[in-house]
Amino acid sequence: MSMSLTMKKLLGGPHRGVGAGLLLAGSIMLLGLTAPMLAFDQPIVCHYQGQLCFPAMVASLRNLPLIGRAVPLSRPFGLAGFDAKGALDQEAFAIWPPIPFGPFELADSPLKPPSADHLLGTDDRGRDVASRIIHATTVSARVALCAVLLAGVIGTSIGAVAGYSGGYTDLVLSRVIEVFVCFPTFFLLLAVVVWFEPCADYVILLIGLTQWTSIARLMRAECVRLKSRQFILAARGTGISELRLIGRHMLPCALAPLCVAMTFATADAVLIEAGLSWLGFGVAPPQPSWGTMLRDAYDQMRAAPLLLYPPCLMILAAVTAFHLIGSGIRKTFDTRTSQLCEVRV
Amino acid sequence: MTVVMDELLAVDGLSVTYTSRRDSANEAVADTSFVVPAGRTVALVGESGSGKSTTALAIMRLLPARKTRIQARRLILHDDTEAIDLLSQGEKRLRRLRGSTMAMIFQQPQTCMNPLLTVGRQITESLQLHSSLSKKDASGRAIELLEEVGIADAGRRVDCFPHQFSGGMLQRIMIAVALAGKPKLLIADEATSGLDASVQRQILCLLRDVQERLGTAILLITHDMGVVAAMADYVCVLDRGRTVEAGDVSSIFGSARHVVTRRLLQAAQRKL
Repeated sequence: MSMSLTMKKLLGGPHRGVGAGLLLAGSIMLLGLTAPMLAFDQPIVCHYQGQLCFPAMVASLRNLPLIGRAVPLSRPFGLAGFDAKGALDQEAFAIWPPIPFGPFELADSPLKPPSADHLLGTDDRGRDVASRIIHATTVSARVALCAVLLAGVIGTSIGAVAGYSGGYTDLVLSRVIEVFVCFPTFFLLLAVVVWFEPCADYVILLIGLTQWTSIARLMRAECVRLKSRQFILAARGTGISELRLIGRHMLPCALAPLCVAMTFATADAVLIEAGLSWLGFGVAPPQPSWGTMLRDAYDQMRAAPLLLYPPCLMILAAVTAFHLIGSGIRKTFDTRTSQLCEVRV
Repeated sequence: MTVVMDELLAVDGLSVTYTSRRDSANEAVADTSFVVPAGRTVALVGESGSGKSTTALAIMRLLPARKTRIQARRLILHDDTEAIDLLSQGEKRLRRLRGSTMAMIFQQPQTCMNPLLTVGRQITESLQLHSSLSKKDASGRAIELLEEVGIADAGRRVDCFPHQFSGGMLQRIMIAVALAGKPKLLIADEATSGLDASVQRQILCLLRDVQERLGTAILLITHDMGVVAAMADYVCVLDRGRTVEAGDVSSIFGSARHVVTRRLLQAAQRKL
């Protein structure tokens, strides 16, 4: 009941931006999750060697976080070097995705302008840009969300320990947070990335390990504030363990400001990923991401200026969406005075 | 102090010092001694700032360890078989004692319930901490507890949030939370101060009823001698952290010797 009330307050309140932001962010997520269903060089459903196959669907399922890896490949469609278009009979039954080109497929001659065949044209190697931008969404959204999740876990735990323990623990942890705040994140990332092969997982790790400070500070402040509240004392009086006390009683009260910080951090992560990939230190080049596509487009700016628009607009849309959500939540719950947890007396 | 045969809690020469700043120390409780017999009610009375609440928190060992120094000649709580020295227990053992052997209810019940959890969740949480009840059994028991403390329509009210209750009802629910672990000692810190007179009477009746049914000893902390007269078997009067007068309730009311006791009695009479 409280959940639906909260949603009503968020969506129907004076800050309608949340709805627009959620819609936008939701469609980007959906685009990322269903990328192979929309654009792929293998069919959604097809009849191959007397069997029904669902290559694009399987590829979509394999995009899912965690459980995705457990989905078996639809052989031989997922195998490298298998050319579905060549192997499939022209007369055989097959339903193709709306954009029948894969993100790595050399579909046409390079730098073709937008046409009915290639909605957004082709890039400098002749790959379909529409297909690449859809698949880039999967990569960029995954990097941003995983990085923020990691930052959230680190930030919340360090902030909670610092705020709840107080004393010397707080003193030391607060100084650690301050040291991390002082790092010029981007240059640190560049310096570290030089030692590793560029790869999406390192980008996640690096963004996660440097962007947790604002979340930690927030959680610390909330815990310090909550610690002196009567209901926390009363809960301790029932013999509750400290871990449960923080998890069950303090964390829910700090959730609104944490959500705000996490959404803004997501927008930041999108930008950092794009920046790193643009410089060539992020997601490895054949893999499409908004940053790498921007880099490719930048190199061809004179020959095909239109190529700049898709990645730019996607980055803009993602950052705007998360900012709308974040500021909407903040205004709705007014976290500065945090009325959410205040009890009428 | 008279020697009581089956003492549940013995406090002897308790002193609590707040040491928040390095050089300044504030001795909130200087020398407090009293005994709570099993199944009886002891009232700890005194003006505000006399160290009543600090005494209660010291017994529960809920004072922040870093900022307070607790000393006592004796601070013993009797469990079923053994005498537990509360000062020498580790946090783990104390956690097990809190809620199961000793429980506490506070003043201003509105601020003492977590506003984001249903009252049912808060009772089941307390239940599950001290027993191996399954989730389903615990929620059934929570409804029973709510009925026991006089919440009408408990089956439906169990899923309500604290802000949906009145102060009096919340105080009943706090008592239910405290009773979840079947404590032998219930510390009621100004449990009725924020409530209006008729609700106050109902809560006191409930506490007396609980005591009769479960044999729970009550340490009643109050400044209202009217409450003392209605509830207590023994009285201990505090002034600036020291026990200045102690005895059974009739002797205190009959011949109060200390000026603080007299002042509190006068205040109660004038109010009536």
